[in-house]
Amino acid sequence: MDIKNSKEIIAGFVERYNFSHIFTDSGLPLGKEAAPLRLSAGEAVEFLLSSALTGSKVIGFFDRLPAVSVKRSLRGECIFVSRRLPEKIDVPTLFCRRSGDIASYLVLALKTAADCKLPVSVVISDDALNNYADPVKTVCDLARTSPYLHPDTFKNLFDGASFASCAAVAESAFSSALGSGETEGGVLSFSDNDLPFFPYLLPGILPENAENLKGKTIKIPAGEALAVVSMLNNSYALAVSPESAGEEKWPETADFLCPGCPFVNIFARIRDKEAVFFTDIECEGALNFFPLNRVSIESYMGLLSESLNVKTVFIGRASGYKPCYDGLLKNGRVIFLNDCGLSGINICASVKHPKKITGEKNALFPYGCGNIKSYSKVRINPKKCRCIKDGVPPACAEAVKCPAIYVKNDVAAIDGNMCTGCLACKTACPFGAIS
Amino acid sequence: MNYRIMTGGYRFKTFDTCVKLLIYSAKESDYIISVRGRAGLSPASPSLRSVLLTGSSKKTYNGITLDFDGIFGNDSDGIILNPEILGLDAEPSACHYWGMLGALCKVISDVSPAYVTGYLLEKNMKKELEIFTKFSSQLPFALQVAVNESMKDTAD
Repeated sequence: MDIKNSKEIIAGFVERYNFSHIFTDSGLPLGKEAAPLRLSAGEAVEFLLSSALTGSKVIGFFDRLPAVSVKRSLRGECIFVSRRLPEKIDVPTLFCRRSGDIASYLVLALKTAADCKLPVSVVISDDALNNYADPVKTVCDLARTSPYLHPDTFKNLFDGASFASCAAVAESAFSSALGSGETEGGVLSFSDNDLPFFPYLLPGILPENAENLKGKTIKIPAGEALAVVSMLNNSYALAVSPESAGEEKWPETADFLCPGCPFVNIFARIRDKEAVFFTDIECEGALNFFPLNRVSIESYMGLLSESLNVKTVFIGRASGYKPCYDGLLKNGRVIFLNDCGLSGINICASVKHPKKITGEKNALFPYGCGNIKSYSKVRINPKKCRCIKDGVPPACAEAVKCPAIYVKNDVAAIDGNMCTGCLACKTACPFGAIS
Repeated sequence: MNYRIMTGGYRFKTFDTCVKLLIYSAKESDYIISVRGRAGLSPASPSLRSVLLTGSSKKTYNGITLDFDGIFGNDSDGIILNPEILGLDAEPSACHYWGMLGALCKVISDVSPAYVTGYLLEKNMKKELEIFTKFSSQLPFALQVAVNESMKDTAD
């Protein structure tokens, strides 16, 4: 069968071009990392730029690309791939909206990054990422897009003029490959392929046809309005007013959280429901389902530096811990998710199994989102399972949103292949049917 | 005839294979295919796909909901195929996915099940082949009546 899904196409590209370093956001399993880089998105951008500065070929996959500050021309190629529109255009950015274009856009980004000595960003829409295409046999000889460029051309330290000349190289490559696109007004949409959008944008260079948008009202689907307007206003001071346009209707579906999800286990067992919960983990599922407020660990430490009238709990990556936080933590509570195999943290009690999380002030949870551990499998006693017979959905499934729980013959059952043995479901069963 | 198939499932590997086989089989039957996908909130969220099969110049599409794991709410429209309606048990092995795919091939009568049959034979998936063949040759009576009614309305 010749058809590949978008993730297979991206994986094929990464494998073909031998990247020295690959970063993947925890909620976006697109890239294959030989050794996982336990970094926040901002730290990852700095790391990848530093690597490319020394000549390495690097690629990073992000949910949304954070701000990128380029101070020097790069010796190696640097590509950022993301699925959400950036808040600002800091680097040459391609917008890929069809799965069939993914391979060619990534190759164009690689070639352009090599020539213009800037990182290149490729934003791939959700529709393109969750789609299929015939595999495109794209031959990339990595030949220079301009025969007149020489490695010494960009030897000098960056100034505004140097950056502009690099970006101009990118524009030349993009416009000859993609054209300028139809963006005169009317309805713009990044996610709807039937509507136009910019094929690419460059920092500081206003697209010719975007001039027509200044001060006008354009229609953007409601779900995208904030991102598109923010991007255009922040980068080009374009005053555009969004009007909502129609969006494709998707049916309501049951939603799930990952089997063994640390948040499910923490909220199933934590007794202090009055506390305000914070996290630096980027998982929309967890943020949507639990009463979490997203802040960085530095911001949380800033909160703790003043005495608070409420109890607070921070759930974050153990890789973000620094010993200098110890003094502040007496004013709050942290649960670090052990995403980097730490043997322990001074101020935290190490928890061996998720079921042991209750009762500890500061805790080191046994795993993070990207390295969920498996324990002994869980079983449901069909004789004790009564929810469905009583005419209600299984309480365990409703509480923990675990895809490993399914219904068979009017009783709940556990899929042994998916179950991690975290026992979060056991806390939710009112009949003691789970062991 | 034209069809809009809304499908979703959370046994990702089998779901992906089934959608690819559907696309390939429909292409072989000379349909023009357009697929839209949507990401969920978490990595465990069900995959959702909207597959448009265009076989005629009419502007109308028959709606089919192919709900592999019974995860769709009550707002689904058109012909609904889910494990409960087909009398299938949702199994961890995702064997029921093949029965549902077979039912879809029966509903869209001009999509040949041959390619799927060949794939299952090649992979030596006997149980899956048996259940696929069962549902691609005959639907439950009530469902067949609903399909006939739906196709008659569209033809009118």
